[in-house]
Amino acid sequence: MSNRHWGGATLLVLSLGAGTGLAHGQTMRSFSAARQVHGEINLTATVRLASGRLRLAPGGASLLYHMEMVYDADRFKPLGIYDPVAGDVVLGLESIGGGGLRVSKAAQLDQAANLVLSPTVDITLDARLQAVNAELELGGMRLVAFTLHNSGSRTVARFTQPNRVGCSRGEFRAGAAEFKVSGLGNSRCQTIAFHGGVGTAMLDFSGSWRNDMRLEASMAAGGLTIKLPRGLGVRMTTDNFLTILDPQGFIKRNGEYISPNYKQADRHLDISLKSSLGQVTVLWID
Amino acid sequence: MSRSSRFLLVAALISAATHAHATTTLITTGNGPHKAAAYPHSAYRTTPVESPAQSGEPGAVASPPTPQEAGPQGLTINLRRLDDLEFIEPILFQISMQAGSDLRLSVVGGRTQLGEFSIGSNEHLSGDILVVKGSADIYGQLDGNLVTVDGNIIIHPGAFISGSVLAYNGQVHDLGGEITGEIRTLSSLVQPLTMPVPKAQPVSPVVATLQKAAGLAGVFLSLAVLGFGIVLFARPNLEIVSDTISHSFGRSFIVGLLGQILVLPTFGMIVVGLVLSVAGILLLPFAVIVYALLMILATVGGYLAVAHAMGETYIRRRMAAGLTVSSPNSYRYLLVGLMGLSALWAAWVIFGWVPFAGDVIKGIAVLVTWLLGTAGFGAALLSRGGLREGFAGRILPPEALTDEYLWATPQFGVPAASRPPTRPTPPPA
Repeated sequence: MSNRHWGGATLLVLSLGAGTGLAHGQTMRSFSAARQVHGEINLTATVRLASGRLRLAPGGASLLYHMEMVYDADRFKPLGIYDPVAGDVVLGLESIGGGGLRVSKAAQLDQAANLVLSPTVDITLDARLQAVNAELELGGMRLVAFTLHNSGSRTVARFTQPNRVGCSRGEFRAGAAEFKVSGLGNSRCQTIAFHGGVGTAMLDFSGSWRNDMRLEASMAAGGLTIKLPRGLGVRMTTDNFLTILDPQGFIKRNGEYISPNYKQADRHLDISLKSSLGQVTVLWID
Repeated sequence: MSRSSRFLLVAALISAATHAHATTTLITTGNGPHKAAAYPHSAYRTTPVESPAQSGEPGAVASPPTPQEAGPQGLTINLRRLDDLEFIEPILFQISMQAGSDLRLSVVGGRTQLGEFSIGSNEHLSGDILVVKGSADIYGQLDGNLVTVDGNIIIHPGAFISGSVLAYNGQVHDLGGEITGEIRTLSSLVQPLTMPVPKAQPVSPVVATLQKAAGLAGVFLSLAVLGFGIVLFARPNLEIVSDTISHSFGRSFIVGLLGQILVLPTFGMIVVGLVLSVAGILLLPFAVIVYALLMILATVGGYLAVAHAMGETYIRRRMAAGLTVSSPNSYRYLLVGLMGLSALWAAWVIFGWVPFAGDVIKGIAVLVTWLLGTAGFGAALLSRGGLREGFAGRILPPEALTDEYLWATPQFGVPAASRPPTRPTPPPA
């Protein structure tokens, strides 16, 4: 700010409580990275994104992965590193200069990335997102394990189609964010882990169940909603502090909440729930 | 043999001679059309490139460019390092920028092509290829990396590339070929979202002073308009805040200071509280807006109340001294007070150009403005926005506080009055 505006600005800031900012130029660029399938059996995909929007979906059978993005070249550089020996790929954006990633202006949210992964290769997915508005279609792929970490903003993940292989563990970590996952019954995971910070989260276990599952859920502060399909045998152990929990349709026995049909049910879900300062809602859905 | 056929033959011979003794290829372009300066790999072409002679341009000369060493002034690029975008992108950018002028370029272990390029379905090339200002159509086989600058890469069915491809400022169209390596695109500028701020030009002291004066006048008028609005619609509140400043200045300042410190923590507590209450999340946007508005109102209102108090004190002293003041009301108090508050800034406007002294005046103006603003903010908090008279020093009913009363008894008026006792007097038995 130039000297001559200083006096006026001081009074304005004092009187209106608002600051002024300078507009900066922004260099938006596009980048894409892809690789065809050449007999690969598995792929470990790491996705790093600090801000913007991310869409993930299964792609065609011929592509191992394909990411295209528009990014702020003043602050980030694209990542597209593939290790053919290890079968690892790192995709996304890296902050220029290191020192962590932060969103310093809203325009960075204009960044967008579309990622497709092969539906024919066993995939271990590790998505580390920060202030990212993420829409993830995780169904229809061969996810053997996944970790999805979003520090802020909003995440909507779906298993619209069943996972093509069994999944050992799926982990969701949400910071201060809105987090929704639906169709977890299609995930075919043995264990689903959810670690929430502050905000609201919804875990929907609808879908075609092919194996029993275990849910390890913890919520620091906020609201967690767990949607369970009727007919599922559910057993829930809780370790709550200052948490509102009133699960409907359960019988409390020996400190556990058990659905009446637990023994007769074909598929079971064992829930280990830890929560503090919040509300946990359990809903039965048809 | 036609003229164009002779050109192609000469070009093919020169091309073969070049490849026989050089591992690096360089191109030098003149100012003519890019296609005219195309490196003549005609033997590799399935898509013929129209030469100047073929195009029938008048005066066109069918002579291929003479290869030259890039030398220290030229660009050298290693397409083996295609994964290292940080290394390769600046060079590609320079190539893109210079391709229209004299371009000296060496590709380590590879070759370059200026203009359209293609590999026929029966052809098999080895080595890295850089195509500048043209697209690459691949029907055959390439053992190496392929890069285009300002052009697309089209991989046709049956094509095979045992390497990676990169289209800089272009697209990769895979129509059914096979690429064993990475497929990448990278664009330069996509869209300038905001224009860069031009650097301020130095101005003369006179112009700078006039600009400062205009800025000060604008702020003064804005505050005056806001103040008149408050006097018009909320005069009792403004007067209570003003009286609070007059009678409890120190307390107001301390409260204002604490208030400034606690503004953000309080905001955070409200947000967390609403989030924790789950249902309160819905109210969060409204709470944020209301909180911000209240803070702005307390700050602006408090500052205007300071101006009101200053103006009122000054005018009453003049009246007490026997001077005639027409219309001694809140409008006048406010205007006089704002003029007083602006005096320091006016001094800075006038003498701001003086070395050191200008900075000292500015510092004093900032300090005084902050002190008074803090006191005004604190008074607004103390008086709950002018709803509570506890610190306003009003022991007489408002209807008794007439100008006539104060005029007649300046030494025993409101300034001399003590605040009401903290313990209420018990009612008579």
